[in-house]
Amino acid sequence: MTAAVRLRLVAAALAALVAACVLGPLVLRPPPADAVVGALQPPLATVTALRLDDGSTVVAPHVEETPDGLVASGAGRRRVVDPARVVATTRHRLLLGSDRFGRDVLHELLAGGRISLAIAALSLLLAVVIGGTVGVAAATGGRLVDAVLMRFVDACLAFPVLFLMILAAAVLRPDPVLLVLLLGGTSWMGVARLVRGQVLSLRTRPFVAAARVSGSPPHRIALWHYAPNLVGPVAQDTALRMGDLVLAEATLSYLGLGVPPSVPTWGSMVAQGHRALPEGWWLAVVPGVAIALLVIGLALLGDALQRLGEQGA
Amino acid sequence: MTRIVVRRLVTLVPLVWLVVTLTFVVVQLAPGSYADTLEHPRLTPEARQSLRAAYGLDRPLGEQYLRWLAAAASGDLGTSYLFKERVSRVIGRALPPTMLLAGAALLLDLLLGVLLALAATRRPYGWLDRLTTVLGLGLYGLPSFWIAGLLILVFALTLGWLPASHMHAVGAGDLSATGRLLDLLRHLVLPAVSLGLVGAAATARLLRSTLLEARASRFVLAATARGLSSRRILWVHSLRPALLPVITSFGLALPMVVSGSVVVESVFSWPGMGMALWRAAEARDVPLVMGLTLVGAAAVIVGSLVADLLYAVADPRAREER
Repeated sequence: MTAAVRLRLVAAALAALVAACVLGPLVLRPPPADAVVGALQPPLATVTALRLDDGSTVVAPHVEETPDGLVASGAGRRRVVDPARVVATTRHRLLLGSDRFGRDVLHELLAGGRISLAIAALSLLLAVVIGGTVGVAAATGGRLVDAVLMRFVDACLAFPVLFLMILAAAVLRPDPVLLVLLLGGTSWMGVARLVRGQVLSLRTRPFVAAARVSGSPPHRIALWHYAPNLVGPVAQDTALRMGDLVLAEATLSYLGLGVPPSVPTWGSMVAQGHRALPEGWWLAVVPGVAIALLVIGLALLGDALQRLGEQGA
Repeated sequence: MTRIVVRRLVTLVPLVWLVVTLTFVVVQLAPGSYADTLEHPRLTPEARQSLRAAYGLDRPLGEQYLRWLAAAASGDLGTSYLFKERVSRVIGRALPPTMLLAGAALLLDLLLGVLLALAATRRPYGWLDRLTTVLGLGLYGLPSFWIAGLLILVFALTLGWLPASHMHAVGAGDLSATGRLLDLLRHLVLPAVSLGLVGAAATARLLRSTLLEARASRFVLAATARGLSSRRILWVHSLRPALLPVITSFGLALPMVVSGSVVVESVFSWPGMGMALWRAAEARDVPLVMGLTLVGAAAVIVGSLVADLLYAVADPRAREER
């Protein structure tokens, strides 16, 4: 397999995953989660939803017709429904099972993936913007600026980052914006080092010298001559960094930090699943596998980009 | 050599100061103080106010900060609000469990990582190599808390072989010395494995590529030409240079030995530094938070210094250049 083909395959798989997370919750019709008789259904289970005339719904894995009426039962509980009150009956297949509250895990997974992906992507953007600015400034701002900025980068790298994140998240209220600031603000140092190194080598290239003698102002050189040449190396680096950010976000939301508990994310879904052990094993397994697939996909993407870069060079 | 060490140790002070100051800012950003986290029906607002005064929480922030800094500079980390004990004693109690857990995890990481890399490079691109690559990639992507949960499900809840949490069984104090040690080891297995497994995957990945590189090098060719045994070539001429980058990555992992893995400690209720920080942060126990961060930050910096020194010991070339 050539590097280009591999890159396309990995990119397509990741794009499919992202598309599923973004569009899935809009397309899927999960069974309603009110008045559930048999919650915590294993993957591939089928449930019947009986919509009643007062607008409420009874959802259960088994529905039997008996002389007393319709008996909805499951997980040791039962409820008798008057057949005359049933307006509509629908059947739902729960591909990934349901949780304690009868919510469809597949639906939760896609909705949670949306938030996890958005937080990771936004913090990555923040990290690239800060890191890129610091890197370019250090490489072009003269010896003193370079020394000061790079010592500052060293200081930030020496921070016990997870310590700080946990501290901030434990002390401050759960807030997605705060989470993005924290994750982005603690992961830009690698980008800064990379960009600085790249710009230092780009500076000596003839086309930059040509731009400088023809009177281009520094911001124009940075934007038109450095930035396009930085895209390749930064893209490789960000693919791996995004994986780390997904893991960091999952870790924080597993600990109950980051987003409010009502919002599902992959990390908090694993935490909920751990509380449902041992009978609800799929609740923890499913989001964990989703995290792993995303992180591995990103690692493979970074790998493919690197090989492509080596071939091109 | 000594000059480098001294120079690095001097930069330690401003770095630690920066970390501690930032920690102070973060803790103060939060609404409420220790006096507000206490819940008691008979606690009147006046009593709360006098508590605040007793802990010095009513003083201006700048004064609180300077007081803490002056005391810390003379080696006094103050008294924990939560435990009503010297902060140094709380840290002294939380440090050994964390060092035990992280030490065991790092040992497992190194042993398993080297073993996997050696197995994988026996026949590059053979089935064993592919298998370890896939396994390593899978472990790299899985969060450690997820692996911890799976281990608990399988070995503690389903099979019932190992305990799922804490460091000692209830009533372990009555056991004999060997019984207590066995009990501790049984409690250590699952957390150490969930931490070490993820690390081992990374170590194996790194070592595999450096080992292949070393085996293709000219000094291995020269060693082969001199007629050295293949065992000697592997252990002395290939593994030793291949382990160099691993030393650096272990230096970066060293802080974990001191600051602890908060996630794994919380999954297994392991009474270490991570748990202590968690509880201290929730209770707004400022002196304890500051003390723990101080120790954690110092550990990060000393860890990278130790890694650099070990590198110089292992690689004679690095000694010349510095």
